[in-house]
Amino acid sequence: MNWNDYEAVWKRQPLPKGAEADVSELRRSFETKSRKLEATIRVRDYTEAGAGLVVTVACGFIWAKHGSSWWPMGLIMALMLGLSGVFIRERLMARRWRVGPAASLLAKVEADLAVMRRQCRLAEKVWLWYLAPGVAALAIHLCLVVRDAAPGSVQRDPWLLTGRIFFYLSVILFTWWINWRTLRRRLRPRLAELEKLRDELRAEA
Amino acid sequence: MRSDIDHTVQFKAWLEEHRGILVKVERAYAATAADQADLQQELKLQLWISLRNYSGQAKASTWIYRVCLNTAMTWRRGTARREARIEVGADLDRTGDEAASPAQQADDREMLEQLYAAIHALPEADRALILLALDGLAYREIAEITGLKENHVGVALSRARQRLAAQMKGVIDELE
Repeated sequence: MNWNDYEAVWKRQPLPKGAEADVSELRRSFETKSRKLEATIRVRDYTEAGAGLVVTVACGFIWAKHGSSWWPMGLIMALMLGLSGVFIRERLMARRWRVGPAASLLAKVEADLAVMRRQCRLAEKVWLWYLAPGVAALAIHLCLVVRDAAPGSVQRDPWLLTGRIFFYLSVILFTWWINWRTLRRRLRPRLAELEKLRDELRAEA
Repeated sequence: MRSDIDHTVQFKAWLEEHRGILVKVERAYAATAADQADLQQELKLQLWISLRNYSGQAKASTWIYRVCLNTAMTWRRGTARREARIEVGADLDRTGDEAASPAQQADDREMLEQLYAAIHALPEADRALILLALDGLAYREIAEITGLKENHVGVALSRARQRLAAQMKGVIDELE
């Protein structure tokens, strides 16, 4: 068999006839993509806000149990409440950007773009608003534990302490990596796709 | 300004005329029937969205090929597809050429299966080149679609053909 045989059989290959184009289905497909992303963001916001509140309450119990000398737990509670606040604010902003089902495609794309830009900025600055408070909270808790531990206790064992710090840093780095990967693989490509679509729609209008 | 109705009418007319391009790209880039259906939906969606951007400078088929190949490559990267058993055969059964004799149909089907299996095993760039060359596109059109310089298309295509021949030999040996 040679190239000419390949060409011949290629040209004889049976192909389905007819358009089979359901435009409303395509429109739905575009909207499904938007809805999927919106649902992912919504679940993340509620989960993170809820987790922040649970940690705050847990910190309150720990503070109450150890007494006033553990006052730095108040700082951790403030940091966790702040984090929850960020996610609650995100939900409120998302509501502001939402458009009705009768909105034009351009309006929908503009709304999606606003959400996407916001998500990109959050992911780019994740160190500042998410990881730094987390690191601070972990550091404060670790200092309190070590400070109140009896000399020679397991809490002050240098190897255990090093292992604990290493574990915390690994969790922080993993969280950063997840954010960076999402930014690179999902958010930026979707942002570029939406910007292209917005430009095309605007050019037409 | 082109209205939504014009857009839809043109899109349907294009699909009617150039459906074969989409089907060939689906078969070349997706192995299973489910993946082919998924890629088909993505190709149609991207064509529908991109149609607004078509200026008419390039031939419609050239432009459709460009959108389809770009979409197929992105689709593959984004979804970690497995090169599972090629299911082109099942698709061919449904769309058999009734004019040919049964023996000819069987021969064609076997060769097409081997050809698609070999195409699936090629690197992405070669896959696109082979697809375009098998469809009989001129070097100028291939250059326009792939972004290669026209005088480089011949060299790249010659290498891609050699790789295809090697793959075909491998596929046939495997089947025997």
